[in-house]
Amino acid sequence: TKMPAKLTKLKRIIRGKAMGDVKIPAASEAMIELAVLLFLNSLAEEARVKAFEEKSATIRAQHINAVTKKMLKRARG
Amino acid sequence: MDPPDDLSARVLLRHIQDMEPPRTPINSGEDQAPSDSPLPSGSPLQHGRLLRSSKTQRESQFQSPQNIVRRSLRQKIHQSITRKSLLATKRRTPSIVLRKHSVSTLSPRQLLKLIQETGPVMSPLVHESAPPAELQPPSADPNPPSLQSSIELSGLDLSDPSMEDVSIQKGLSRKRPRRSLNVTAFQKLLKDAAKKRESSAGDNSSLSPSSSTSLGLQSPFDADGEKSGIQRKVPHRRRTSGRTLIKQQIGGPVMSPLVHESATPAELQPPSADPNPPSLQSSIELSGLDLSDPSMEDVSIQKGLSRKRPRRSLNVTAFQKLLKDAAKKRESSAGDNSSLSPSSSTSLGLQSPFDADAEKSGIQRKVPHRRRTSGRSFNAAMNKQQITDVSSHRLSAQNIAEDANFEGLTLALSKLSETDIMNCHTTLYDPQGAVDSSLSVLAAQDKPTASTCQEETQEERGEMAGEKSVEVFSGEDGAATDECVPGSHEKGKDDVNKTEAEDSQPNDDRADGFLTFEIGVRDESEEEEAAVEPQAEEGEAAVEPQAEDEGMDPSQTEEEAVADSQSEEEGVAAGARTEDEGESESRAENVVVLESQCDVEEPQAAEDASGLQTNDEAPQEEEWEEEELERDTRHVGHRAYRSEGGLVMPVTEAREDPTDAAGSSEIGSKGLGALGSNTSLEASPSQMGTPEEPEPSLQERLENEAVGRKSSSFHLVQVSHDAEACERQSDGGDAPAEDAAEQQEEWADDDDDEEDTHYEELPDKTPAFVKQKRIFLASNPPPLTLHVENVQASSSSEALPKAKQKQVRRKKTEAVLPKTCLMSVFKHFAKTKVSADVFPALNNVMDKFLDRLSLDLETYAAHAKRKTITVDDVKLLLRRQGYINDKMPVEVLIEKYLRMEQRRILIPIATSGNVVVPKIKKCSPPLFFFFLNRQSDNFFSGLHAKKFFLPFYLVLYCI
Repeated sequence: TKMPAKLTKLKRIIRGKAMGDVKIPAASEAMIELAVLLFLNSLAEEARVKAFEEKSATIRAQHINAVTKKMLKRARG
Repeated sequence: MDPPDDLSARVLLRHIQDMEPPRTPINSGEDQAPSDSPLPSGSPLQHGRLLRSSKTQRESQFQSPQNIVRRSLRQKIHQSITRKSLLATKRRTPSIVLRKHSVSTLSPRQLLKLIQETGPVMSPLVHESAPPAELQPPSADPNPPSLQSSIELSGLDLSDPSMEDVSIQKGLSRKRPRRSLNVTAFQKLLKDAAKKRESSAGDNSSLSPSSSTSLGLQSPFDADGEKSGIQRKVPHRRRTSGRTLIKQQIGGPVMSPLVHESATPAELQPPSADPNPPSLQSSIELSGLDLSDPSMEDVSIQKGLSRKRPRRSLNVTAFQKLLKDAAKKRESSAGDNSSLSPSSSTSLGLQSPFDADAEKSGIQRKVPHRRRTSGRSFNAAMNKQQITDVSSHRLSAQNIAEDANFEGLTLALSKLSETDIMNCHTTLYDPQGAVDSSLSVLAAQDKPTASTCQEETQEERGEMAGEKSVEVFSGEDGAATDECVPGSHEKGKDDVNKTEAEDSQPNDDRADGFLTFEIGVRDESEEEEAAVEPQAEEGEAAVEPQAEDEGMDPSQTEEEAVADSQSEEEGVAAGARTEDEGESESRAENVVVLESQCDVEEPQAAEDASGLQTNDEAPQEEEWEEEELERDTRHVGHRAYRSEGGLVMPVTEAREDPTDAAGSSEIGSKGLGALGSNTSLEASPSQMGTPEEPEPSLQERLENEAVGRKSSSFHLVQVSHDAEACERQSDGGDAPAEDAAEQQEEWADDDDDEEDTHYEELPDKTPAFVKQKRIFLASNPPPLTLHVENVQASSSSEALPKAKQKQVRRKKTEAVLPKTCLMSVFKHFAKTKVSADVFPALNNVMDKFLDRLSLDLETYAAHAKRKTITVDDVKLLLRRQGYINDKMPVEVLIEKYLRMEQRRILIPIATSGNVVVPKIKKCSPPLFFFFLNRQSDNFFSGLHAKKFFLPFYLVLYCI
């Protein structure tokens, strides 16, 4: 399986969302990307499970919406 | 069809060859060319062309001395004669001028003017043209007559039969017989004249009388053409003309008949084009090919049907040229040429009107008038000119000019007849929007009502001209759109009529001015014939009243102007608004608004290429119908309160939004796009998430509008809010919605400043499910705030919509992560099919996730009194999130999810030379070495330092 493309603009997004001025070195950026990927992976898995529960082979927006709350809850730091 | 015709034509040519040689040496020479060419019908058209071309060349070579003579004559004429002098001089000069113009590509109008000046020539031509039409029919038959008559015209005959076939298929031939009668008489005269000519120059005199007679005949033809399509008549004319031509050929003036034939085919073609545009065109083109002008064909193919007609004329011109050459050869005297020239001019005159008719079915009526005027004027001019013989120079010049003249001819004719000003406008417009017009014409032909509408729209164009071009376009578009959704429009119109009739009593102060407009609208709506008409008229009316009355209205009109495709629908809405303002009828407004919405959706779909609209129009329409029913049941008292249709618009949209099961931001985006024109529309999307939210937003909208208008009807607006809330209750059927409606009513007491309070109160009121929806729609909360701000900031509703649109666009376009990147990653992890509609939801989720992520990391760093987010911070976060635990080390996750370059940064690896990258910060190698040294000293005393050192270091590092 090929690795997913790099999530660009992550540093910028985080810095934009941060309240104050934050420095994000490359290693931290990589780790942040790891965190994002882990979240996306878990979200995709949950959404897939939800889709299968509804006997749908394709993940639709409703599935993601149904899973979002749980996933965001789990992502609390 | 063509090949057999060609064959017949060839056969005819053979006969003609047999016949002709005795009469005129020139003719025999021409005939020989075709005879030389292979008669086999392998490629009839092409052969005919080649033959023609070869003929022309030969003739040109042959005629070279004749040409010289012509030139000398022309020069003499130019020198000696001025326009002011005798008519004959006029003829010559204009013809020359026309040539020059054509060469220099002057405007067709100028050419037409020149032609008009040379009018006398034109009239005789017309006369001649009529007879040829008659002649052609026989050729269609297979052509005994054509064989006899058209020796020179062999090429012409070929084209003619094809033309005739087409006309026959169309069944247009009825009207032509009249012409044929005229033509026959003319032909008889012409024969006489030809005989005279042959004998002596007296031919010219004979020609003149014939032309005069022909003129008288033509006028009746014109009248016929006015009543019914002239096209029908044409075939008959050709038939008769063919016969007459035969007779004529028997006589000396073979040339004239040829000219007639050429003119007739051109005429026939346009009519054929009317019934069956494509097939006719093709046939016409073929005929043109037969005529031997390949260039002409190319042009015709490229251009629309209308243009093809002129090509036909071009074909005619080519024929005329050939005929001229032949005529020159045949007849040394200029009298023959003169006869030919008039015929060509007449053909031109006929062609132009026919072309106009064929292009626009609606315009056909007017065209006949043109012909009449032109024919009469031509006759008068003819009488004058006939006295003076016109040399063949004119013919050539006219032929050249004719190509460019076609359009100009129509224009000039229209100028002559002032009554046809409208038509003139239409004709003028036609070339510009050839494609649109042609399409519309086609549609119009299919649907008579539509055609009438188009005619009216065209008339409106003429009136409106440059000012309201946008509206005109909308009217045009309306034809198609109306056709698509005629039922809805009709319904809406009916409803409007009813409501107006019922509610005409409660008129506001404004109503007085608007009543007239409304009445007009009613009449239009009652007619129901053309949806376009009412729309365009409504648009006009809307513009006028709006400009007059309120500052808000002009802004709306501006918006309408901005929106091209939507202009129609908006125009309808505007008309509804004006009506509402005048009468303040809620139902009518609602209905109209619903209709307008129906209309608006389609264009919006086109406009919004972003594909924001995922919902189907059909369900919405159903919803609207339901809404209409509900409104009917509602109390009428609220009607008066609603001052604008725009208010109604947002309400309906808001309803639709909650009703939609998806409840996703997409719907909101839809509403936004659709309602872009209205200020209140933008608020609807933000409200989409929760049923309760839309209500306050509606209030805000209403308030905004009220503020913008500065109308005294704040209370009214609030009342309308109440009504809307009731409607929503009925629609949504949600208990919380009802509660909200009640609250809104309470709020309604407070007018201006409540907006903020409403917004603030909403979250409190919103229960858990609202929160959930908010979670889904991250973008919803910000729009609400923005909307409130807008309301406060801008008193005018115009400024609000723009700002809102911009904001909405930002929200829409604002992607936390690049769409492609995010979707690719998600699909990679999903391991199943992922629908495209996931992105919005996914984007919202990621937005919230990253917000939380950044907040947590920043908090960790701040807690460590750092401004730099370190790897440990992220590790801690992952550990807290549960991704890293005793069983799952970070390195495994890194190796699993991150690419090599990232892994290289995060996981230290020993490279060659005992260099570890990245460096391990806690204990750097040298320090570690010393530490080991010390420890070795302490713990491993007695051992040799070096022996211990290296292996121990390695072991430690491995650990």
